[in-house]
Amino acid sequence: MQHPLSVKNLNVWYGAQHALKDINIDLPARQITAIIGPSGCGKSTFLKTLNRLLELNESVRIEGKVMVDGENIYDPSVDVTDIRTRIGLLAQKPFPLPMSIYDNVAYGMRIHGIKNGSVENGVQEALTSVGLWEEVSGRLKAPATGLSGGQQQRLCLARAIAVKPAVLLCDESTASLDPISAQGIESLLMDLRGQYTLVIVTHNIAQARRLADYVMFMWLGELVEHGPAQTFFNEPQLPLTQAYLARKIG
Amino acid sequence: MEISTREALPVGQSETKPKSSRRVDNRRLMKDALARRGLFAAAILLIVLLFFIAGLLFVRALPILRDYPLVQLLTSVKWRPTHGEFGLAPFVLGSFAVTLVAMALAVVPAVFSGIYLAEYTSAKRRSLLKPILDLLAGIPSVVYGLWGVLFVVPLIREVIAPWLGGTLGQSIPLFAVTNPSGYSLLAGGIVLAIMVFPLMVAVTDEVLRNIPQQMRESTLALGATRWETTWCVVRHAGLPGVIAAVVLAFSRAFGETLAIIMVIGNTVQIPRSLFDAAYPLPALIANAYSEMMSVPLYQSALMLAALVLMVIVLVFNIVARLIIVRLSNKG
Repeated sequence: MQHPLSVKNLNVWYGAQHALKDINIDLPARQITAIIGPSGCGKSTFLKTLNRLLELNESVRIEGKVMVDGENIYDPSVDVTDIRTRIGLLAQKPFPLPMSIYDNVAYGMRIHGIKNGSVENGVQEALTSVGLWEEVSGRLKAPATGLSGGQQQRLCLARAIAVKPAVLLCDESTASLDPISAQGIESLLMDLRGQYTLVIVTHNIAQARRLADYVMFMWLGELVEHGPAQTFFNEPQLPLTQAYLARKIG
Repeated sequence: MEISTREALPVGQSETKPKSSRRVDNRRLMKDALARRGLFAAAILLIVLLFFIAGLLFVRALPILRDYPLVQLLTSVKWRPTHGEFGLAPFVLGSFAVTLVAMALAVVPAVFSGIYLAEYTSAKRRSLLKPILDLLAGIPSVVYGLWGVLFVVPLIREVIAPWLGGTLGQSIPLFAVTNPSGYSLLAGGIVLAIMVFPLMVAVTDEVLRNIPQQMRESTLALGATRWETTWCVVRHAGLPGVIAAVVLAFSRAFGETLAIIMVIGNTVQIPRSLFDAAYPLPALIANAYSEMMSVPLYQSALMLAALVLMVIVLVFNIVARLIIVRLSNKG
């Protein structure tokens, strides 16, 4: 099995607080890895170390390696913009940029120097793959903020995949949506599996059961247990995992 | 919900509640009504005050408006109150000229500083820079005026005017040295620019910092550089706020009096060069008010000058507000 993302001895501190403790894991390619665990266990922190967004927080100190296709993304010689292009992010709340629907999707392509004709095709392709093209093709110049919450999140997904990342990180990306919109995003993520390596953070065990091929369970900044979804949910090895899945803790 | 139900009931129908509880509720409702009316009165007071000031100035300006057409007063360049000539054009143009010089000098560096402070500085460096900025904004204008007299005016007289006059001034009238004293439009512009600089930086910084961090994360996560992110944030979300910062600075500069009186030369003429002396509206009002009693219509002319000053600042603010609303709705 290929491992486009490999994490070695990763430690993160917020000031004096040790938030991630010696994480080691290889994430499977073109599958959905779900990170589960209670609030504050380090799920989102871990996710944001994978595309170096965490370092925007000045109080953060990061040690260890995150290898992407064999290259440590924390190596000083690495171009951070290249890393973030290859590892996209879908945030918790939909946040369309304050511009038109078209420009939202085109933005990423334009900053990477893609010319207008190709941008047009790219926008249509990305909007089609998130099932939004039919709904918005007649009003591409309208402000993106006029879309519904579910549409906005699909637009953000289109924006993320328009720059053709290899990995897509989803930080509780359905948590702020209504059940129908959330279901729509879930089925899109299922469709995207196979094309992208997806890493999703969720506090919803049922969602992880529905989506995940591989599961990481975190607790107080530690990676407690991980494995293929079927094994993880049916035969959890550690008492802490068993208790969490049985909703006795967390 | 409970409150609206209770409000909908006639007084007699809430009999089931104990009496003490009803008394407490009545007191709370009374406080609520008092707060609403009190806050409304405070808000209305501002509007009333604005109309009161404008109205008073208008009433006092009426005598001169009865004797002379407004257009003539605004376009005439002759200001000789003892001869019954009250042309306000040199003052209006002087105000615009000195404000434009100030804005030309201050807008770009101030907006860039604000962007740097909001988007690029570390929290530690920011905590050092911000108090200095606040301190600069709080310095009284007379201190800036004195600094202008002691530093800016000699600098213009001895360095800038000879150099610019000897080079660009030979061919471009804007830089021709017509007045060797240094008390000039440029001196006023420099002092005003420095005065409004901290205000513009502070407002730009505040506006940009209020833009959700998510927006920056959204663009950075697409592989944008720091500058591309900053440009996107400023252009698509921060522009109305940056315009607001410029408008505030313009209004402040346009109405500034004390520091300007000290360095601009106070000569009634339409300035044609940066080194010409000028006479802005606020300076006219402040200088002339004490000596006006003996000449008929003088007081009325000064009231009209004040009204014109107020209207110009108001119109500028309203136009800017419209631009801001339009830009905000574009998102």
